[in-house]
Amino acid sequence: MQNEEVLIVENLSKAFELNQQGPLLFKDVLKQSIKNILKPQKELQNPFWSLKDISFTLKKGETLGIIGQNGAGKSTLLKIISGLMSPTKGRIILHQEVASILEIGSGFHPDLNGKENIFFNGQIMGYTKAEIEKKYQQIVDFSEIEEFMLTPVKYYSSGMFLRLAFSIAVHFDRELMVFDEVMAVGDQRFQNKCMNKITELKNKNCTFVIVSHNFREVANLCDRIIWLKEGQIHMDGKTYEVLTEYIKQDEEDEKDLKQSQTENAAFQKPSLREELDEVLKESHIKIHQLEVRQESDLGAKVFYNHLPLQFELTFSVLRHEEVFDLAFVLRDALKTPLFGGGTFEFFQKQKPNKNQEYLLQWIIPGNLLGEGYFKISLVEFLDNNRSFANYEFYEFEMKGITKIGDPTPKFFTPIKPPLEINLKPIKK
Amino acid sequence: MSSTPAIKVIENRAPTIRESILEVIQYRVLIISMVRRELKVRYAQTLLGFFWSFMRPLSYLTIYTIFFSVIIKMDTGGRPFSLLALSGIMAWNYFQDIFHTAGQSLILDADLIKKNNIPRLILPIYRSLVGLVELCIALGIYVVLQIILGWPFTLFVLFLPLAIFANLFVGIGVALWTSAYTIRVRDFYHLVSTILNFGMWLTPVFYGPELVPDFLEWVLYINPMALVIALYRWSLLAGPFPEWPYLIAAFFSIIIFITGLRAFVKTQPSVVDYL
Repeated sequence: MQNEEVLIVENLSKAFELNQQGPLLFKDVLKQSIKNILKPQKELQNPFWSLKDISFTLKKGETLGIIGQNGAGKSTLLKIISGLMSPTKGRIILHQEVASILEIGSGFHPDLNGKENIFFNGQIMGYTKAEIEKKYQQIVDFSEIEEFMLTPVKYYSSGMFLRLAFSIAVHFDRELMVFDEVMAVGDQRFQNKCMNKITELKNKNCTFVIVSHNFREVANLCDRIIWLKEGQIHMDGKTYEVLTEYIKQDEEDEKDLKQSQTENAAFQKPSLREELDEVLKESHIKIHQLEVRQESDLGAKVFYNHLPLQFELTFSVLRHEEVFDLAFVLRDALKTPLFGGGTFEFFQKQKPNKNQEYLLQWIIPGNLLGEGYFKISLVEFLDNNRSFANYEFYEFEMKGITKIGDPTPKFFTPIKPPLEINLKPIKK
Repeated sequence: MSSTPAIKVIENRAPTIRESILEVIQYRVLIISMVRRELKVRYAQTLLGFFWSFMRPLSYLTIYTIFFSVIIKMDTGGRPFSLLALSGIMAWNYFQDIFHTAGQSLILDADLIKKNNIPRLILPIYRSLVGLVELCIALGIYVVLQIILGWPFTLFVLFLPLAIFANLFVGIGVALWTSAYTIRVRDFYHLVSTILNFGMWLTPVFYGPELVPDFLEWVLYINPMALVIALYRWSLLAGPFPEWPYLIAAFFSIIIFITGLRAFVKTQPSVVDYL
């Protein structure tokens, strides 16, 4: 049962005509039109390959996230899976009917009210009136917009659209569901509700394909991620692995972009100092030195997670009348803040002095962080805490030396303190 | 490995005509509810609602009656002009309605097929059925008028459904063509629309076919709509049964329908790419 295949994508490619505008001269238009009518061309003149030779298999109960930059082909892939577009080459074999939400307001008729749209959508999915009638109340209850059921949906807010669309999609017992960037417009509570519903359906062995730019959503829901890059599968693997790799790459791209924009830095990679100066150039402090140390040095910002990690930051305050406190925050690869600390109690006793250099030292204990990428940002609390500024200034990788304390490596959490876990059979 | 059989294979292949027709039959309930939906939408946010369906044929009728029988005093072969004109206008209006809605069906319902996987062929079909309601209203007005004018009905009236079917058939044929080609070349719709403006006068809509000079009679015989209107007048006004040269028109309409259907089915896989 568990290994049952639901969706098989085989060598899928999709090309679009790049130059759809067509010729502008009248005689060319005429020629083109006549040619088109007499013999619609099979080959595209100016093909743009949105998807190139994609293959993967999705098993029952899996939740697949698809990530990638804009234009990577994510939506095209979902459209083909939903049967809206046909591929140029290759094929998709489906073992389940698909329910999909692609963009908000999918398939709703603006002039019909919510109730009519529910019935209409149900009929499109192939259900009879009686079957829809049975589901109707559940759908309305889940969407929490019962009072708007008799309002034409063109007056709905985007949040209401989402609520209705999502409720319809999840209540029709389809075992394969495809969502394209849908939860972004919901409020926090409804987003949570959607996530819970998806988790509930996951437990019932439903299969999902989700496109999202919200990493937390992807990280929480998906078991597996496919990273699409320029129409090809760049990486296909476990959620956390692909996600950290993606975020890393994303930031490198951004840095490269910055670098190519500043002419001087075109050839040499900036040193850590230069990098810091660049990052902190708007800040109120000057960093003189940063040292990150561990007993055994692995180099290149890679450290063991079972040993303490020591940070030493030498800085001086440039505009001390405004700066009140300086702190660091440790974040995981998804930028979730984990913990932090700073000068608070020290500067409370004595205000920072402009002519003074300070050494801020903090030690992250060993056996606390899990494996993976981490970032440290500096936070300045300015002007009586009325504002603060955040500078991402250092990132590093943690490696595990042994797997002894961690027999389940599939369980990724950014923090992994040595827990005491016991299991013993007890007599009944 | 997989125990459930594949229910669907998505690949770059146009469905066959047979498959498309089977899909339409499978989705027949949806067609009906889409017709209902469209009717609701057509008159949504109007105060008079359905009343407008009466207004359209009535207004046409008034204008043309005044123009042709009062100002121009056209020869109608003894039949009341209003009946002659109304029977023609009904058929032509329905045909136009099919062309303007079903002929653009893929574009009008772009939002729907961009986001829902429904058989494309049901779009022109449901759109052409919508106009049927207005046709029936016009027919109602016609019947009342004929009774008021004291013109007798004959048993031929039983063949009215045949005329209506012919009307629908010709309309869908043209609409299938137009919607298939308009997707790639949007000029196609305007082209056909312009041709139809001529067609309205080349077809005996406001006049009887007997007014057509002999050397132009062939224009009637190759014109499917001339045949449709002749059928209406035969069944309602007890006019002459369409003569045998009209077989050419019948043949044409069948050709148009089949080739249109083929063209439509063939473009199906690439439709969404062009929307």
